[in-house]
Amino acid sequence: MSRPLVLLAEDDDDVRTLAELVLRREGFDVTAVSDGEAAVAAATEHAPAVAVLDVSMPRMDGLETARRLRELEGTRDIPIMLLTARVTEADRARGREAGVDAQLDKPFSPAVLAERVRGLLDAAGAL
Amino acid sequence: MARGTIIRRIVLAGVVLGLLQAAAFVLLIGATRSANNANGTSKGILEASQTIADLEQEVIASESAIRGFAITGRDDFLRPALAARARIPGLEQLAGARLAEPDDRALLEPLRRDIAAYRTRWVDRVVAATRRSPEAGRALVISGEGKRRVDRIRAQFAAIRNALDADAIRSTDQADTAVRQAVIVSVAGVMLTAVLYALFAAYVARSVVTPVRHVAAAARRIAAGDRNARVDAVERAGGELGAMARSFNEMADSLAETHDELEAQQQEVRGYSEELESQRRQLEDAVGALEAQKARLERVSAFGEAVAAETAFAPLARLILEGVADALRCDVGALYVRDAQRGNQLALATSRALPSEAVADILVPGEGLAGRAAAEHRLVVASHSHEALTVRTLAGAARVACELHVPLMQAGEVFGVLSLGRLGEAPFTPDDAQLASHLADHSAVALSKAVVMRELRRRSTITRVVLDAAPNPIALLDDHGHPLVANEPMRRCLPLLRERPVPDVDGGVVSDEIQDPRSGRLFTRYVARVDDADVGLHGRIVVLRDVTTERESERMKDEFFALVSHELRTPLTSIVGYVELLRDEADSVEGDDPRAMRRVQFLDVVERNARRLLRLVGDLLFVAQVEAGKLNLEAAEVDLEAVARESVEAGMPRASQGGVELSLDVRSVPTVWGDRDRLAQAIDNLVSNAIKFTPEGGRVAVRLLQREGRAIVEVDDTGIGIAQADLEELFQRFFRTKRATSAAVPGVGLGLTIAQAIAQAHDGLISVRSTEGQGTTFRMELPVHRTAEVPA
Repeated sequence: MSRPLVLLAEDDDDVRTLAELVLRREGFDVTAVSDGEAAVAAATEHAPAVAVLDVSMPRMDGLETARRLRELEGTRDIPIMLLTARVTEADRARGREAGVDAQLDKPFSPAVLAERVRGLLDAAGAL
Repeated sequence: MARGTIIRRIVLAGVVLGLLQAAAFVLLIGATRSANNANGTSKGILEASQTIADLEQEVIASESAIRGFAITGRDDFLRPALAARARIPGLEQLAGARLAEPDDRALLEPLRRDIAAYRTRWVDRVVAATRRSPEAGRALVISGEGKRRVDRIRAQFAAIRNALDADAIRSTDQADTAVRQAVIVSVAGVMLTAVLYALFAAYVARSVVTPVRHVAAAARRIAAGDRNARVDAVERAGGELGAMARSFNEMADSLAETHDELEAQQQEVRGYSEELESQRRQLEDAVGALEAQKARLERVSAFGEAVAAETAFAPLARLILEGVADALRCDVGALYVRDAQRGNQLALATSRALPSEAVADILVPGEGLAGRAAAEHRLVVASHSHEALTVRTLAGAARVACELHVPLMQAGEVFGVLSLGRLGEAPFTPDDAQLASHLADHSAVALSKAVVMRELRRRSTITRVVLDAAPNPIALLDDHGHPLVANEPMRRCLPLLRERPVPDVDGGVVSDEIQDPRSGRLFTRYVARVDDADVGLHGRIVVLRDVTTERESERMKDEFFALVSHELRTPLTSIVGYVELLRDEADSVEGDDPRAMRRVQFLDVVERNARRLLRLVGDLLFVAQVEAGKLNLEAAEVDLEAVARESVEAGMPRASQGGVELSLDVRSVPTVWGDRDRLAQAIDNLVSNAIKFTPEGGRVAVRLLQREGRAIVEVDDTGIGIAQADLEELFQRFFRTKRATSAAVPGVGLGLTIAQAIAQAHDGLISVRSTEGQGTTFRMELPVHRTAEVPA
């Protein structure tokens, strides 16, 4: 089975590199972008298995990106994980309303990231 | 004589005159007719003469013609003769008809014979002769036979003419005679008539006019006043005049009687009218008195109306004082009225022409004359002969010589006193006192109303001023949504109130958020019901609070926290993440390479510190949120026992490292409602503090119990304890006791702050007991969630 494709959207270069590294190590293919618009474009073009979005990005943030992906025909069913800087319950609620499937607080350990992504994929694959 | 005699006589006289007239007339007619006849006869004679003349003319013409013919022998000379011959018979006949007198007619016969003979024996002969021969004719003519015949005929004509003339003369004479007779008769008749008429007139004059004149004279005399004028003489006369005179006399008699009666009545009437006159004078006096009273009443009623129309207190007080003072002709005065703002005493409301130092500000019942009026509830009048209040006038200082005080009563209570004074020596009469009482009654009602109104207005103004000064828009709406009261800030937002209808409320306070579309400002709206059946007030009270800035600043705080949190956590993510990668790499290196092991150690240090930094960031953010009131907690059922157990387990490593015994004692398992993570954080803080401040060999015990509906977590240690002085400040952020700092115990002083904030956010609290050098017990209490509790 080919490596599953993960779409990673994160504006901080270091964190993006870290996450990409970890995910590749865990056996995923990664398409990494640094803003929401690029994420939508990439999602439409490459049809990833999972999308990992940082909540705060320039131009279009993670929530807006999630909403956009949910709207579009081709990207509606992609499981989405949101990377958040935990602030309030309201933020969590907003994430849920935007249609994300999981939320992971920063800072996260790479292991946890990999674990959670795998979990999402399994859940999606099981359907 | 009998009645109607005069008429009869007049009639008789008329008849006689008429007959005379008729006779004269007849004679006149006869004469006229004669004249006419004569005239006619004359006319006939004239006509006859004319015919005779014509006839003669024809004969002459005939002769001329014949002569001419005979001489000339021309036929055209004959024509006239022929013409004459044709005409002559007609004329003869006509003459015969016209000649009236037989005598005359007798003359005509021979004439005719002659004319015929002339014609046959001469004319024809001549004509024949001439026709035979002109000389024969001429010879005949020259013979003169014709002429002779004609002359004879003409002589006959003349004779007839004469006869006719004689006739004419005769007839004329006849006519003249007749006319003369007529004239004579007429003249005689006229003169006779005139005479008779004159006689008749005289008669009438005597028998009618004179009596009438007598009567008229008598009437005039009566009219002039002579009651006794009568026409006795005439009465004696007979006929109608006598009757008239008798009637006149009777009338005069009766007039005289009537006159006497009238005079008697007139006497009576004069007597009555004298009586009436005296009564009239009495009435006039009475009317005068009534009018004076009416004027007084009008003044009182005008005063009453003016007073009733004025509702404001100060103008009314002035109006009353001035009105009563004027009505009673008083120069000075003062009005006292109860004032709720001055302890309900009788305070001076207004005064007239009095110096301020002479007039007391407060009237004490019982003191002074005015006070007496107030205390005894009645009018008081006094006059002063010498010592008295003086008032400044143009003439210098004038004494107030007479004074009057009347209390103003309402419902049996005195609520005012009217004091009046006169400068001149004019004491107050009972009438004055009565008037004063009336006016006071009118005034009392109006004044008491004005007092109440003033008080109401005062309170209303106070309310309004206070309401308007309030920063929040406040409004009271009736059940139809119309504003009954709106303070100034609300009046500026009234359109907003109309656009966002206020919800119905049953009880309690309902609040929601509305936004003004014009300004974009956000308001929290509080609505509550107001029902007061006593005053018939049913509606809702609405209070708005402008929360725009609040929301704005909250939003900014949210953004800030989100930003700060993100910015702090992102680098930490990199640090922690890469360190982990490195550690994994280092771990995978086989062997006991000391450098590798050192690398691992160093990386551990970095990771540990990164985590420490992360925790610190979290704590700081948490505290900041608490300060900003932006702490948001999850709400779920929390099993405290599990949480406590986890905390204890997490603390075990450090406890054993520090040589401290750590235990958990669960007496009951209360369930609380709240944020599990945060509660865990709080308990963690307490536990880690206890471990930190307990030296080696000590003991930390965590107890879980329940009491009076409260869940209790106790963390009890045998550590260094806390000084009493420090206990108060213990929960302040960044507070560290001297011992803590001096003992270099790690920590930044946020743990207890955070723990307390968490407890309070759960409607609980944290308390502390401590003895320095012996130990400390921290106690967190939380309300129990109402589900089944499972006892330990």
